[in-house]
Amino acid sequence: MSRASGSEPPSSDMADSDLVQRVAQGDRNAFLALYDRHVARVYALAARMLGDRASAEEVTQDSFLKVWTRARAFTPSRGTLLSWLLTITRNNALDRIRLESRRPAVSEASLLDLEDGRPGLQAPGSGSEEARWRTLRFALAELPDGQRQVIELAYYHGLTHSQMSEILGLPLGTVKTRIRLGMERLREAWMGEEPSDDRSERARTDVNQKRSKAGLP
Amino acid sequence: MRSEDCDRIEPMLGAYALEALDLDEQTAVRAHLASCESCQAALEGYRAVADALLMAPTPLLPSPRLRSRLISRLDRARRSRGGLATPGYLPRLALAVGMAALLLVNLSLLWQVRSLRVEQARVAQDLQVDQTALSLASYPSTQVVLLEGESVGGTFLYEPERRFAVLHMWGLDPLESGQEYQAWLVRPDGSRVSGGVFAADPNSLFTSAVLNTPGPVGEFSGLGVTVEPAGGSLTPTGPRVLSADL
Repeated sequence: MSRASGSEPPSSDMADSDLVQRVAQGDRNAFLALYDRHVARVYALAARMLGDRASAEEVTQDSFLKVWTRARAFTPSRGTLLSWLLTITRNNALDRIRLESRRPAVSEASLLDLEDGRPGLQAPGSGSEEARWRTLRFALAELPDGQRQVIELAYYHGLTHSQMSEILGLPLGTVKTRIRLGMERLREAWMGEEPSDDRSERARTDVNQKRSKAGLP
Repeated sequence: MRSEDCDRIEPMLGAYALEALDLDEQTAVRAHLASCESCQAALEGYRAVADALLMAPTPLLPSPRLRSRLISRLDRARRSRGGLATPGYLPRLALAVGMAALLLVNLSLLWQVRSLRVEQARVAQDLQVDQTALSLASYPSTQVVLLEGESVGGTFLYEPERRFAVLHMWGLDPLESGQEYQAWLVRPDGSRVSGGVFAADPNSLFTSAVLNTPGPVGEFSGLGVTVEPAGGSLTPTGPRVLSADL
């Protein structure tokens, strides 16, 4: 057993990829460092998808346990640890949603619902990454309700075109069009945003500009 | 290279990245993507959005209990996975350990069967003694004689016409291996005849033995018990622990 219990505590600026290697060796301190660094995002996603804190905590726990037991399976070339972790979290949450046949709360589904959660978090990731996510968040918030709703139902609740059409009582074509338009706008917002120091104001302006552009053919 | 197909496929790429397509559409998009670089490039952008959507929810801290709960599960999680910290030889080692455990179980079963047989023999012997004593007690002419020794005592139950008798004793010390108690019947002329060998019962304060005699017990005038080498002697050689006149 190569439990590295006697190893040095990992320093706070150690890269994720180094930490995850130490986790693969059974280093608990490295694991907890990863937990502290990313739990707020994992939990936020789980809470967003499941809508209640108890289930979100269970999914968060399962996701981190998976990192603990499968750290060796992580391949840095295929993406960041955070996106691996969040993909695991999404899959866990979708499993739970399907298992419990949860119906999404269609009318309340909004990304902003949980924004009154516990404040004062250190922002994970670098400043420029954080700025891009914030841009996307704004872009999503700025979407017409109908478009935002189908994107969230698809990605956070695992629904397909035809399932959404049934649940929302909308023609299939309408659902498809809304997803397409919404995703095109988000892509423009995401791809168009350059890392910048002056984030939120510019992000909003950019999104608004792109929105007006997107209306054109 | 754009094709006519692209016009049909490209509008679905956003939904494809969100995994929102129904199965038939998904299959069609996948087939097209395999050969269309232009659509692959377009998909990259949608994929990036989908990835970013995972990070879009505003960071939110769970209860601190979750952290401690997680810590308490780490060991079990890794053990049950058997995965990371477990080198490859462990499964083989586990097999070997398992086999050894099975062998041990078998040996222990064998041993248990053996001890059960020993126990059964002992119980059968006890039963024989008890039944003999009982049958003797049912004869009207059966007599009981008290045996005396140093810190040892006993009774001798016999019917003068029978060629067997029952000896009950208490306070007999367990003997070293290689030694046994031997009972003697004393003829009126003083010669001794062996009545059989026995060991002190380790599980009980009392030791019982059935004596088989060469002639009717009534023909003998006395009884003794001595310590002899295992298997018994032709005539008494060891210290006498019990004696009685009949």
